Amino acid sequence: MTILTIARTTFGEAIRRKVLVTFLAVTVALIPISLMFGFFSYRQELTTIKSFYFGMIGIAGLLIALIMGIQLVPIEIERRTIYTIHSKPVNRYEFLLGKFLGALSTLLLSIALMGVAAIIAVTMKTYGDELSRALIPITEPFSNQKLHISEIGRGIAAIFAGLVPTFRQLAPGVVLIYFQLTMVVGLAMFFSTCLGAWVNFFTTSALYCVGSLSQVTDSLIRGENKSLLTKGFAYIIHYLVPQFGNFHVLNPILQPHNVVRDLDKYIAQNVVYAMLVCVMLMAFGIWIFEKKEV
Amino acid sequence: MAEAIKIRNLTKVYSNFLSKDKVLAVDSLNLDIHEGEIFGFLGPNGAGKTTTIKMLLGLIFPTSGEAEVLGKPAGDIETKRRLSYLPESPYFYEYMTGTEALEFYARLFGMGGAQARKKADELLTQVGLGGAKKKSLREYSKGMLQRIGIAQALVNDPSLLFLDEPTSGLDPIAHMDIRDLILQLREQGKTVFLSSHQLTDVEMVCDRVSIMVAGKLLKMGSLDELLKAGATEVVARKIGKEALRKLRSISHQVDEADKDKIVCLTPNEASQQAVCVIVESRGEIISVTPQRNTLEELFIRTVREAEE
Repeated sequence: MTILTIARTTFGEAIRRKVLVTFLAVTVALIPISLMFGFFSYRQELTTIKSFYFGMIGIAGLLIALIMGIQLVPIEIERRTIYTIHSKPVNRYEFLLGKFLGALSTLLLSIALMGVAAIIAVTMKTYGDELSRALIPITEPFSNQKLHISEIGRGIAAIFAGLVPTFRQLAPGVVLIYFQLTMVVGLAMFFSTCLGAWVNFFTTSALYCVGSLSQVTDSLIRGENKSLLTKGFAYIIHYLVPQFGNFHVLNPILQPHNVVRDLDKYIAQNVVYAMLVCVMLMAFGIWIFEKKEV
Repeated sequence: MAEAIKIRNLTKVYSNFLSKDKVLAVDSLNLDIHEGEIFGFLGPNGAGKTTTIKMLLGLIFPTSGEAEVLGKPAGDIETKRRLSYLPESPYFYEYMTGTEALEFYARLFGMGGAQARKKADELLTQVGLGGAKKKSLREYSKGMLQRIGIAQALVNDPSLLFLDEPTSGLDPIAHMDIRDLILQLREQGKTVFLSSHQLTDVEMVCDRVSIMVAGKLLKMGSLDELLKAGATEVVARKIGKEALRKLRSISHQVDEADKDKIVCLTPNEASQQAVCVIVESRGEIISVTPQRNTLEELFIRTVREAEE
């Protein structure tokens, strides 16, 4: 009950934060606009478009996750709102978990909105030809062609029918991005219990970059002609830093040589991994926060 | 009388992790606050008042010593159901309306939606914000936010209230309202731990006060005990020369106000003797008034002495 009350308040505050709303609005707007302004040639492969959208969602989501994660706890201490909360029967773990859940809800809404925008844009790109042809009389005022309602209807129906396969194509990547970013929020919140906001921002960003190289550290560990020192160093990084790289696997540009044989199993494994990392980060965060003077 | 707060040798040292500087914020504090009293906790800025309150609430931890609040160790979660805290210049989630803010605090005590809303409406009316309940806190003035602070401190109908500068930033009317509210709380049998720089308020509402300077408790007692000046003013008429000579020998000061009237300031222990001298010389006593300091005088004197 207390955790949910704090989570709801955190969500309510986060979705009103101008900087987050701006990032989200700009990204959601850029996704369809990128098609209109001809970012991609008509014949350009869908793979590139998907990669571009995954990249946009990933970067905007990363910024949202970082900004939320580093600020949620320190801002409560700085503004002294924490005094009126902790003088009530609220355990410190309830406060931290409430904040975390609130941040995850905000992130979920943001990624979902961006994901929906990307799905609509890709559907329009893939299945919108029929509708475009039907709408030529509108877009070209001096055209002699007549507007046929039935053709427009067919075009719209084709787009609607295309939404489902596009969703199936993009949703796994969006899900992976979301769970990757839950670890970023967890990491940022963990550091926020012991570091200042800016130090936290750079530390979490650096760990995100290092963790995104998890495929590289994995190959270093498996490499046969690598020194023991290299292997040891790679081993420590691979298992100590969350493996963010595993979540980029569906981005064909970032991971061109990766082929996932059983996608459902791969996603399930990584979702469980992300959840375990979050649980561990929160457990350590609570342990530190219990001793923290506010 | 049962104790609402019991503090024994409470000490807080702030140390900086990087430099070796240490600051002694609270130094071996011993204090008992009785149930049902309004206790004034005074001291200049940086005296350690807020640090003490934060230790009693479990927001920070003592370096050494012990503190009990309502019979349980300071910071106990269950005890927090029976106490409340109004911090100095409180800040709230500005996007919320007055009702939403108080509903939020009510829910932290486990109240459900309807109950929390009802409680919020009651409290907003009680603190005079019934007309502004749908406004977002962003639009509230400083005084209105202070009232929200008071309201959130009453949401659980607490037995013990920690009020840190409750009248800060309030206009005279709101100031008086809060003072009256504190007096109402006493009538309801609640204990109030009041930290304030408004010495006239403290003098008007508190049963006992303490003065803390640089982490040390220098004065504590009832207002009558602390403000007793140690002198009595005796005003009399028709005093003969011999009696006047005797009065001068036992008094701090004797002024001849007009032709036959004198104003004589004697130590308390000699006031009886002065009255006898006047009566024996067939003089006429107009008044005998024990002198009383103001809290402001006591506060300034205590702080200056400590600084010296």
